[in-house]
Amino acid sequence: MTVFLKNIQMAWLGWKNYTDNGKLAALLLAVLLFLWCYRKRVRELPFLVYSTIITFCCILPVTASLLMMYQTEFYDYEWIWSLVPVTAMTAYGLTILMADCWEDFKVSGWRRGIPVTLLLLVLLMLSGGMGGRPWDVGTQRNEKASAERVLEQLANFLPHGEICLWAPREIMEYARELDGRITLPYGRNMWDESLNAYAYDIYDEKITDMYRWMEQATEAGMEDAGELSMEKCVQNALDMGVNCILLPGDTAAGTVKEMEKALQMDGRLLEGYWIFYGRADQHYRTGL
Amino acid sequence: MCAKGRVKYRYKPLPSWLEQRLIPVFEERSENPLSPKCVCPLKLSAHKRNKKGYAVKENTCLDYIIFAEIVIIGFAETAHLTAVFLKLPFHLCAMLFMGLLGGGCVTATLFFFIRRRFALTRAPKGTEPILSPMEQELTMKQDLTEPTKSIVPGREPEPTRGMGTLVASLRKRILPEDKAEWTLAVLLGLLVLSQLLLVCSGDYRYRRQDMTMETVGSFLATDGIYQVNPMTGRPYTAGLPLRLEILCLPTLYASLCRATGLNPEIVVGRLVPALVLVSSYAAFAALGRCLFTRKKRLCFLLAVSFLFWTGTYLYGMDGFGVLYCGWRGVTVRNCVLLPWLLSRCLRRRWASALLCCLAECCIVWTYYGLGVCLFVAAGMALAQRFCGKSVPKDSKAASSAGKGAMK
Repeated sequence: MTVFLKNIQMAWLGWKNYTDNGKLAALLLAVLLFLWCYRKRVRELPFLVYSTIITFCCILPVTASLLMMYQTEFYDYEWIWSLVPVTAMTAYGLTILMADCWEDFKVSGWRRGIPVTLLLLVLLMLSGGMGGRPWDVGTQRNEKASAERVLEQLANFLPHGEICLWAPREIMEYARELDGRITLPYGRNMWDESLNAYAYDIYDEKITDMYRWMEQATEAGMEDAGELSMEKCVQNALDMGVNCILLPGDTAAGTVKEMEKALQMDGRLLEGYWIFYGRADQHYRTGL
Repeated sequence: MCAKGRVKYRYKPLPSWLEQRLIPVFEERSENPLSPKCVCPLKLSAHKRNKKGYAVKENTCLDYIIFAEIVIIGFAETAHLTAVFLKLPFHLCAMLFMGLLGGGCVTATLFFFIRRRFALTRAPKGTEPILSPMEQELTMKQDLTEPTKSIVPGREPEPTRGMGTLVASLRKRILPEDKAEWTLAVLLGLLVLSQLLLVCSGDYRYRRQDMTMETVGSFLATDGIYQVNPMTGRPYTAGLPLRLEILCLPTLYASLCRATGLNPEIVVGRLVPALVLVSSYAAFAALGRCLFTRKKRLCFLLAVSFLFWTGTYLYGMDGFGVLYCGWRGVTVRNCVLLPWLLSRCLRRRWASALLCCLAECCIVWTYYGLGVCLFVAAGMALAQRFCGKSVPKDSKAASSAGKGAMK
């Protein structure tokens, strides 16, 4: 019962979220209303009946929560809309309206056809994003290009050895995607929690500390990484077999020096990152 | 002609070859060939019957495209499961998949030629050849433009066999007929092209909640299936859900990478989304074919295309899926399988609806649920049961049509 009530709440919030950004759901409702008004022209009534019923089932919180239970609660609310043929039904209604107003799309019918076409186009544009994206494409592109350059350099430094990398988030994000041979102490699922559903593996506290330290240390000019000790995190990294550590170029000088001291080696500034490699590999192999 | 009831004629059985040739003509001319309001007896014979006697439309090349994709998914699943349960290395799995694919291609080609040869040899001298369902549809335009050539009994029928005729018919079928159709087709082409360019650029990939690329890379790097956690490249400590382990899309993509020598970024990030986009239009075209006549079908596809652009604002919308994450199983399901499934349901082809359900199980993690395709198919079946009168049963339809024509 608690699960059911929780689902109802999630369904209600989901519906609000679903209609916040774009209004395709509203357009679908308008199309359904139009088709029911002119149902004699609808060639496939079962299609209309199914779409109408399932649309209202997705909107009403109680039925929506049942549908969410049907999809076994793994997916979010918006995925129950997969059951509704939104695109097909909306396009169906718009086509019937267009064909009604502009018979056979002949040039002679432009007086009525063109205004209706324009009106529908405006309606469509107002209903959605028209290419707008809910994430920053430019940042993603730049980060990926940067990661690609850095990883190429790393491949030159360690041509024969396997790379086990500990780096800032923007490098770790693309490392496994760009080269499947690279191993990491933690992956993208550390910050994209939805990915944790794809495996039973979990990260222990040591690895979580490593991630937190790297996140704090990479903030420009930050001398102190809070309560987390760098030595401890570096030791954890070495224990995990990390043989290559990256720090951003604008890391505080004190942090870089501490890292050099901990690894007993000099860092090299390359492609905007401090790179420490080799020592950890040796440490790993000798088991020190 | 007959739908309006302007021309009176007596109803009597026609030769089967003539009926076959007339069927598509009426189908194209009629606004609603499945409607019982149209009383032409020939038109009611325009569709193949399923076992229950319901009229169903013939398959077209659009259906064969989607069917081929489902078969490829089936091959990938077979190879994947074999490798997972026999613990085979990935290269053997890829070889098995490519072997199955090659075998499938050879079988399909042989089937096509044997069927064609069989159709040609079976046609008695002086009669129309028995055409395959696709050819019947392809010759539709020829019939429309030159109706007297093939529909007048007693007259020597024009030879319509041979590959040249097939190509000519195909050209007539595909190319737009008038200016309006040309305009719609060009507009649709531009929109699809713009979407293809966006997809092929590879920059607009939504990576959240997905690890297909890493999984494919892991398969290729370790030469094993789920040997390491794709996120870290380290062996699993606690394993992964069995339901996830049996999904075949990573194996399919990795096999394509191995066969073509391309890296996963190109295959998964560009080629597959482009293919899914094109397949999506094929599926919607198949659905449009059930709903509209030719010119309106183009308009329908235009509306679909605009809706793809419009629906890019939210994760989970069709437009978002097909333009920003076309490689995902949920996108293939929502934008390819579901429209095609709807078209099959409208044509009462339930066996192929079942195929869609199976394909979904192989590519989408439905957790331990039954999936969307099954729900949609069941919903459409129920809706058709409630609105069953819109599609007449064979016997009733024929008799009522015959009576209507006699009057």
